[in-house]
Amino acid sequence: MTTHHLTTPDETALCAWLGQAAPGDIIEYHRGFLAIDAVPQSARLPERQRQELVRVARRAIWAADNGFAHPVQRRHGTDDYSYFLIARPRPRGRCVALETLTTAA
Amino acid sequence: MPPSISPADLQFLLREADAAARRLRRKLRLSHDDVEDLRQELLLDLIVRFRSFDPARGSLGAFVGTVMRHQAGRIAARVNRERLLYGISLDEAIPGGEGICRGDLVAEDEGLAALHGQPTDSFAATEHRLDVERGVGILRDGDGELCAALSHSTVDELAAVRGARSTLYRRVKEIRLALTAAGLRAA
Repeated sequence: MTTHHLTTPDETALCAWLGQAAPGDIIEYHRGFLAIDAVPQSARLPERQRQELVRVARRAIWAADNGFAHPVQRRHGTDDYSYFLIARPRPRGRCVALETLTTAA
Repeated sequence: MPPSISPADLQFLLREADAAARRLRRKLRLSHDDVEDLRQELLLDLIVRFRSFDPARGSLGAFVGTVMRHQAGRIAARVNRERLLYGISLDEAIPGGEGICRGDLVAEDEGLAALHGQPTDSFAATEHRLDVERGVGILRDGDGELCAALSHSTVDELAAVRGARSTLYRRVKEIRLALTAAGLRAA
């Protein structure tokens, strides 16, 4: 089991980690207070970084919804949390036969 | 003086060339259209070498058989060499296959690598296919069809038909990220 940290919000890096992670691997995708950091009015992050944080947060929820990882958070203090994803075993999910796609196209 | 070819000898040469060409076509698994070319090559070589035929040393049948066997070997070597150099078209029709192309006979786990003499891993190929099918399964409805359409068209071409190029690019980015999260690397 390894723990990985995203030093800056990066949706592509998060997806790459999800694709390579072994079950039990952990990534900290944000440190702070996500609900506040993600809104423009807070001005706690540069605008470009804030927008990427929103995308990262949505991707984390997407990963949880699709069975890739468990979303977890740890409280360090007031308005200070670590937001983690813990990789799950690869979900079986739905399979789509490639023949059906090529026929449809 | 080299012996002249009598009409009877010519008929014999034509028959032998015809039979040898058909044998060679079957051996090389060429199409029926290639018989005429093979026959002409065999016959031309035979006529060129006919001046060295000496009836005192052997029969015409033995001479023709030897010359054609050697020429057929050279043709077969050339065809096989060209196949190795240029590969084989997957769209090439299989003789007598009732419309079946060569691509239909190549197993999925062999792929193009096998045709070019490269190592193949059938287990890895099958697992990769399953990974792709599972990856497509997590995409939103309609994105799978977009992937299939992008396999033979560019985003610009699709945008000309479907409109909204920026929307298409956003969907492509979303697809890439989802497939990356599913463990699929870009080709």
